[in-house]
Amino acid sequence: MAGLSMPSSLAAASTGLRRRARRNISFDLSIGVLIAFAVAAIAAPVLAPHDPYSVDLGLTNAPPGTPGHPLGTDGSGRDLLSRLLFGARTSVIGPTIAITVSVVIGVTMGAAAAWCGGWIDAVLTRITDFLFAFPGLLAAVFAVALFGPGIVAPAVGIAIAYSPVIARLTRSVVLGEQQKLYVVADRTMGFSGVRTLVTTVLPNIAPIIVSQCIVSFGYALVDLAALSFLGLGVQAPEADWGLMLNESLPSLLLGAWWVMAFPAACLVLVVVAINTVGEGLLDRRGKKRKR
Amino acid sequence: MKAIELIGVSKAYPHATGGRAALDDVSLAVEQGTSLGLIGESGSGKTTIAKILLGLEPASGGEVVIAGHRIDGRPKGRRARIEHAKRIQIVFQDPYLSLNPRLAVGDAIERTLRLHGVERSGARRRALELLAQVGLGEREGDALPGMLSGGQRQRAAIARALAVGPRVLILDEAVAALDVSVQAQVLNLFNDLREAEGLSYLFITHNLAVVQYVTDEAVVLRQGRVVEHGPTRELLARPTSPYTIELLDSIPRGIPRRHDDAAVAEPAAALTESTRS
Amino acid sequence: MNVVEVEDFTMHLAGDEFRRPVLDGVSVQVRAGRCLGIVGESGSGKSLLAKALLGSTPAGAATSGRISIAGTEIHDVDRRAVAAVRSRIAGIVFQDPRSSVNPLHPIGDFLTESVVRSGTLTRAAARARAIELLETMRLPDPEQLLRRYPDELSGGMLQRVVIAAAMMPAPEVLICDEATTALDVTTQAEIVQLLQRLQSETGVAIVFVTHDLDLAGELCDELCVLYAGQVQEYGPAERVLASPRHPYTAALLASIPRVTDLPARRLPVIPGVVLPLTATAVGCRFADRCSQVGPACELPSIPLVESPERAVRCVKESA
Repeated sequence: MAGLSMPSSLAAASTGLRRRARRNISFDLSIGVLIAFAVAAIAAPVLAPHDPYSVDLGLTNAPPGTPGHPLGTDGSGRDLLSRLLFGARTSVIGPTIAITVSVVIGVTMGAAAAWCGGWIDAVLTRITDFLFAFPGLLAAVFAVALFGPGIVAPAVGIAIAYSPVIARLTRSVVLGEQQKLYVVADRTMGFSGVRTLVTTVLPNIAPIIVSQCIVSFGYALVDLAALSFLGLGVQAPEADWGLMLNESLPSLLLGAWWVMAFPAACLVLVVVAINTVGEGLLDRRGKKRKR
Repeated sequence: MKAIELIGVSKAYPHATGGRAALDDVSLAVEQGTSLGLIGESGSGKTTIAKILLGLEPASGGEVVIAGHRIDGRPKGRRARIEHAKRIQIVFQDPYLSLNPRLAVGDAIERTLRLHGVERSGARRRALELLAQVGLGEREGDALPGMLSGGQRQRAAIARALAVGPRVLILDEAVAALDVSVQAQVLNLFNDLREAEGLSYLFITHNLAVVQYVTDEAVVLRQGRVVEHGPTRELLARPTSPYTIELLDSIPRGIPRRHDDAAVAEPAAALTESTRS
Repeated sequence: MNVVEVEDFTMHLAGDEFRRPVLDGVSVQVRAGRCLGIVGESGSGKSLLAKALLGSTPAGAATSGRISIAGTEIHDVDRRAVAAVRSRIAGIVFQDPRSSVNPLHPIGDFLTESVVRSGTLTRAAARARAIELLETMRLPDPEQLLRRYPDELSGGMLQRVVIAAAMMPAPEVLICDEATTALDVTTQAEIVQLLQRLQSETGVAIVFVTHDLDLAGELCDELCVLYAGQVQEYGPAERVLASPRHPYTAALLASIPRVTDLPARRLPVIPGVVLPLTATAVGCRFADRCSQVGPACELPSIPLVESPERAVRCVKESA
């Protein structure tokens, strides 16, 4: 009986290895996907076979594999591959602005609340709770209503709506760090409160904030793409994945499913890759702390 | 001028239940250039004394004097902060937690030096000097705390404290977290440093055996009160307080202990002690 | 009959940074009613051994050799079968009582829950046994105590409760992993007395893991000194402490601060640092710190020399 089952210690070792390998593959794959898209975005002018704006009304909704258009063309005869490559840029600028602004707002609020405590904490927490009430998309629509469509206004709207998540995370992590002996040591050595916060506490919490940012980036990407889909974000004739989805509806009705499928696939791929990387980083942090 | 003087110091925490103060009329003194042992178990108030001396908390009553200066709670303003730091520093029990995990220990020492006015090139040189003084080399200086052994980390923590240039050092259970085979090295280091730099020590510990090797005089603290004090050797050889006798008796001696008189846990003391945490 | 039998137990940890076994050919035995002290510093592997006695090994660790408790093989067999008997044959007490007890439940629940759930005792019988054990541990007013919550007790009292809980299923062996390290010295002395009392009343075997040689000498009948995962010296506690034969044991004893009448000011020092888990080792693990090191110490593996009353892993020890 004992001979048939693997010695338990060996079984334990191989299970551990198998589990680690599985996680690593999806993590590494995701990193690969993100690098590919980053390259696409940066090198779009070089990689794109056509001008993303050039219209060819004689070759509308051409299927993938049409000579000169490996992914086909859209309802205005524009090359899909080129538009996807250039679209990587606009689809990414918005979330980048959004996350950067939300980090600035969120970290400042959260760190100040945790570090100062007292009434400052109380006031900032109320503000954070208030901001939580705004879903990202709604805040973006609001911003567009005030400042008009484009890239910047919706991004700032999203930023404000996302900042409470970062603020709350920052606050709780800083509260934890405050108790730590090496932070107390800074104070006893004569460092001021602000200097301790900025030079010792923030660098130590940076990794977890960055992991959260990566995950939030994915959500911002989807929200801003949705906004462009609604016509409130990036405007025509720009190549933007969300806008391409919007423009693809007539093509879909004519049976040219690829005009919608490819931009959708890009969005899904990038968001899934971002989430995998973000969660993977949070995971590794957790493991490191447990040891 | 005494290095440290506590005169009738009391400390009560406003939210603590159970009615017992953390410190009750504590008086003690450390003469310049000597080492005083502060012997106490958990709930004795030894940590509270350390916090008050470091200016992290104010005393509720009495006077606290360090190197001739009266102190009262947190120093206010940059100048007061720096001056206070220059008077008294601390080496904590757990070097792993008291060092910034993301800073190489040499950089941590340099950073402290620069705060206290040493300019960049001089700081690097002085940091290496301090590391050498505690028995560490340049390679250890470039290492993160996580890459060093417990004893090496504690030495780095000592070097960092010395970087401020204090006259008085609080050693808070500073060898308790170290391996036994390394404790002796660090204890000897403390003695050497004191002689070389003319420092004064407040050596906080619960370990009566350790206290004998690094202190000249000792004070025994129990539940916020001083129950005995005197020259260390006297105190250990001829203790007068029943509590000191109990402490001495509790030290493991490597021979079997009689178990017929196993003590019943004291509920009253235990409960008030736990509510204070 | 040996209640605990560890035979040539070796453990390798997963991860490229570990380049030597963390436990290397460890063999120890404990008879019923006896107490074995496992003494070591950091990196000695003592805590890994304590947990391995219960079958708990780190994820990915590879082990060889055997461990049996009260006749049950712990490693290399059906893990579910082991888990079923584990709590009935061995109890363990760790260093920090507060992380062993759920703060949200009363003490009574902590004591009775697992024996009731496993069907070992009825709820009424469990309650009665809990009260009995609390009395053995000299805790005042046990009936009242059952209703208290962990945060109402001091560290020392809570540790007594944890010991009582470990004894609930009447195990054959009690493993204490640095169980008194976090306690005050007066509390530690009380717990040692209680463990002695427990042992004489129930006949339970005790494995006491500690870094404190003197403490082990107070409680234990046999001592096993571990360094870098290997047994360096093993024998009756009194004899090992009075006349240590391994240079490490001797050097350790000499460097421990003690309350003495002598005007001692400098402690004898063991140079160097404890061999870290990530370091490789060939030959004697202690060689680079030993004052009696010689060319023979570089032999690829130093055997454990066994005589009737002692086992010593040192080339200076003649067979």
